[in-house]
Amino acid sequence: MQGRSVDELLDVTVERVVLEQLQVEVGGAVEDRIGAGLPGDDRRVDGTGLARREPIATMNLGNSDCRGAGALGYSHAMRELPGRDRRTALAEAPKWNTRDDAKEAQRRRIMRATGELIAKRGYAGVTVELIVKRARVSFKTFYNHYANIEEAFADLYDRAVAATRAQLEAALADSDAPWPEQAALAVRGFFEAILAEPLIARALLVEGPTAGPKILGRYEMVSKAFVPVLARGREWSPEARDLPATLEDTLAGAVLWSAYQRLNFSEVDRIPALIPENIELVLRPYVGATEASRIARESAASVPAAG
Amino acid sequence: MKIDTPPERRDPIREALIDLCFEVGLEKVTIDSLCERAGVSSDEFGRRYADLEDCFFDVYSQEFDRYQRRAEAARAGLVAWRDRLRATAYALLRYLAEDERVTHLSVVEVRRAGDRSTLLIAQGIEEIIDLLDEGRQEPGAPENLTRATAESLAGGLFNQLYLAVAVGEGEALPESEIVPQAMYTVLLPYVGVQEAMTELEIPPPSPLDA
Repeated sequence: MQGRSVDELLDVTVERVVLEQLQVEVGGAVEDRIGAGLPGDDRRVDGTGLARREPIATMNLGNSDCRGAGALGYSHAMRELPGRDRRTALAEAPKWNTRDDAKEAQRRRIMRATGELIAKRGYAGVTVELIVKRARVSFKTFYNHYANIEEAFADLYDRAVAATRAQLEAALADSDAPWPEQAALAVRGFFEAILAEPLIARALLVEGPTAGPKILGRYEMVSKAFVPVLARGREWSPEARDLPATLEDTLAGAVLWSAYQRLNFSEVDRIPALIPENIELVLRPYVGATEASRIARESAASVPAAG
Repeated sequence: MKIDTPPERRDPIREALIDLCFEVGLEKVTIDSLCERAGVSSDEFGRRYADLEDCFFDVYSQEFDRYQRRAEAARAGLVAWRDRLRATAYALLRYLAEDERVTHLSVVEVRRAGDRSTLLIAQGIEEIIDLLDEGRQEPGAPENLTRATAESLAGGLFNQLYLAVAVGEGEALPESEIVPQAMYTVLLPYVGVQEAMTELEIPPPSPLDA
């Protein structure tokens, strides 16, 4: 997979933030965000799970009720990141197959509707009827894709996690920085992914654990996603080899919880400020307080500002 | 050590709710199935509770109070922040080790049991965050720390506990390993590696102390 800089990845966030702000300003909603941000999105053209930059002028401002992050009180502007490449992340055009594309678009609409409804109503409060209305598909179409809501939610979970993972891995592969900076990049990328899709993130991280064993297993995997990244810190510093065995589990859980709390209490705008403190928290056992603080500060210089 | 059964634990509705939550999960429990299991009429249930959520909250809040009393007793007479933190950790683990059905209800089912129960567990976690956050007053604690560090640490531990109970993965570590390792992790940001390491050598208190 072609490597990507984190700044290119963050362009995706900028687009969304602009859209959310526009949405608030016009007092309506930005149409056709349904499906945006999910892997396989038709705005994603290079197979990396990255969105192609879409001029806002071409967006269809319609009457969707898709309120996205606005419903969570999410409004902040991104700082200009140093060295950001503003060019459009275009790649080769895909080979289109009309029927498959239509099916995939339906699937994405169903997944997004499922995630947004779960975020707003809780897993137990969602019905197939609500999903098909929101996704603008028939019952038959829903059941052509999924046997039940749990399957749709599991598909959303898998795709969202795979897309985030691919973005983070690409960002890390593109970086030749030493381990502490890479770990900081991973933590930051995790929060950026949440900021890009706070409503979907709420469905996955807040409602997911209560949605039955299938989803719980996926939540557990996300909970432990940082464990191998952090465990590499033991090789980085000889003193770190004797750290307690459960350290990484706790630190990975701490990062996740930090996001969980803000999503649960609709305080997404507080997330940017948490990024440096979480980076410092996870690095400190491996590199010491001074170095952890320095890396967190440097990272803070390029995280989005809370508005 | 034999633990006396408190009077509320002999309540058949309480026992039935705890059993059913453990066996099938709260979302599959109905008032009918609960009454049948408890051997009480739905009229009796209706006299005591507005609905299932109300019933859950009643049972959960009794358990919450029971844990709080234990933790307060364990901390009684302790002054140093680290000692109070350690005593709380052992009190919590020993409470959770007593009855796996109650633990499942208090850690897993509570998350889908309605606003009042969710708020109560949030309050419990908030109190642990307050306690952790006192670490910022420790001599030599870095000045740039905020409450967010305590929040993340408490959440990290709670998340581990949640997964251990919800997924039931692997053999649980003994308290003599869990608590020192957890103490190390939470102390580290406040007192540094060397001081935090000393926690790994501190043995558990006797059962009577926590």
